[in-house]
Amino acid sequence: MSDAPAPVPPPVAVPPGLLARLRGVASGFVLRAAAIALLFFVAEAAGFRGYVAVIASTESPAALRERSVEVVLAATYIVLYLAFVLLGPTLLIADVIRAVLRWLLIPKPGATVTAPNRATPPPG
Amino acid sequence: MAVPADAPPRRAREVAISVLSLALAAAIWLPAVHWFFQPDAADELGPGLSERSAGLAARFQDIWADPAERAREVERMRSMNAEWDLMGRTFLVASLANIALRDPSLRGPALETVDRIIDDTLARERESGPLFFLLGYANDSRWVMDPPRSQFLDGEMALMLGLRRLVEERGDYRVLLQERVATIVDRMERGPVLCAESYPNECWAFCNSIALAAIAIADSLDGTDHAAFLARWVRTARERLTDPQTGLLVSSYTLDGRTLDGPEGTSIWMAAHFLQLVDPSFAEEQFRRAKDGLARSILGFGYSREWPPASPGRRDIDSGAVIPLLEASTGASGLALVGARAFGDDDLYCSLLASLKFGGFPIGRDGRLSYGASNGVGDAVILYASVLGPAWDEVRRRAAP
Repeated sequence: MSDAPAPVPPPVAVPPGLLARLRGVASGFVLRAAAIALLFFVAEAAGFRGYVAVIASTESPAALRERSVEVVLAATYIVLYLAFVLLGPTLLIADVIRAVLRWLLIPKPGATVTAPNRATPPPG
Repeated sequence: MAVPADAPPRRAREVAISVLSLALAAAIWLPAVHWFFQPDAADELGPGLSERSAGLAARFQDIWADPAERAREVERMRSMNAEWDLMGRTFLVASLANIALRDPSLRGPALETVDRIIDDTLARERESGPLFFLLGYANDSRWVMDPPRSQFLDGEMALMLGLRRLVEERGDYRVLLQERVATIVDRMERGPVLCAESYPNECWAFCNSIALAAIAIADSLDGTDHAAFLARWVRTARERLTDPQTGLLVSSYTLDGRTLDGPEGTSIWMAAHFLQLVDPSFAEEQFRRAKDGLARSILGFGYSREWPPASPGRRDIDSGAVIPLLEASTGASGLALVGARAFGDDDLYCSLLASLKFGGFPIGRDGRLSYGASNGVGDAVILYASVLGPAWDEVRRRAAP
């Protein structure tokens, strides 16, 4: 047994993933808004909007059960639409507000806060 | 690993800042969303046919020009509610009549579709009987008046015939309208509160107000005079068919006037509009009361409750989806479009249109428009709200001394 301290394992270099790479260029809020927008546009381009009529149409509940796949697609579209319209812009605005608040409220790394030295008389 | 002493406070501050940012962002964005769904007021409220109305009308005309498509649409409607089949026809005819009066260049195709709808409806009535457009319970109990007839069908049929003749006279429809109006008046006169049954021992303000409007239209066309009867009806309604809490017409009642359902958004907006031809001041009063009791707005989006807070009711198939807490009814909100437009309440109309644009899921293709969150009858009501006006003006013009 040796008194020498246990060797510290060298840091394992983890290749940065896609999310980590993206976070280098955009915040989590912006990434989430972008993901919502992307999914919504995909759903829109795929024609999911047309399935909303299945839910609201005059079909009987039994017929709706028979068309459960279309009902799920319609529900997915509605959730994505609401997220795109309500949540996406909220996230983008929140990102700007957060940047401002962080700038105002969080001390910068390395910055030191020094109390005024009361012992030193003011100049003059 | 060494953890900086200030890490927990810093992390907590980051989380607090994120939550605060989201809250502030929501407070900024959510009240602003409605601006992105505002209708083009100049287009919607102008004298011509708006792009939206033209798209809705074109889709309906396509459906009625193609027998297979029409059969599919009718079947879809009837599988849920046979009433909607008739109401969809009525509001489409009313819309096309207004379009024809609004823009004479569209008269030909509009009347072609109107005649097709009227002839098909008359044929179905002839072949399947007067209860064909009613829900199944029409056969479950005994009608008080004999023979059984529904004011729902008589009123809407008379309205369709009358509106068609307002645009252009047709001799065979003249006879049919006069016969229908004579039957309506006879049965209403026999009712203790001057109303006729839509279902066994069940009268509806909606159906009776449509019948009254049809009588007024027939008077303007044929020079008959039911003014005394119409005035008596309004007096009776004020005394026996209004809800004491709200002053609004109740929705349904027995033949002798006992209330079954109190005021409902799915009845009163439309009833007020049809009563404009019967007693404009009573109609205006009903609209104002309905607006106070039912019209609401959240974050700039207008909607209608199904029941006023002072007089809660029970949900039925006409209410459509009712959003809890807000009590927003899709059916009542659609019909509120008609009320708002008919009484010139542009602010309410535009706020309802914003909701329609936001939550109606418009689906446009090749100049044809429908609403994903609606159905055939809903789309017909939406179209009617956007084009109404000229037909009532024409009735007033003809009735003027």
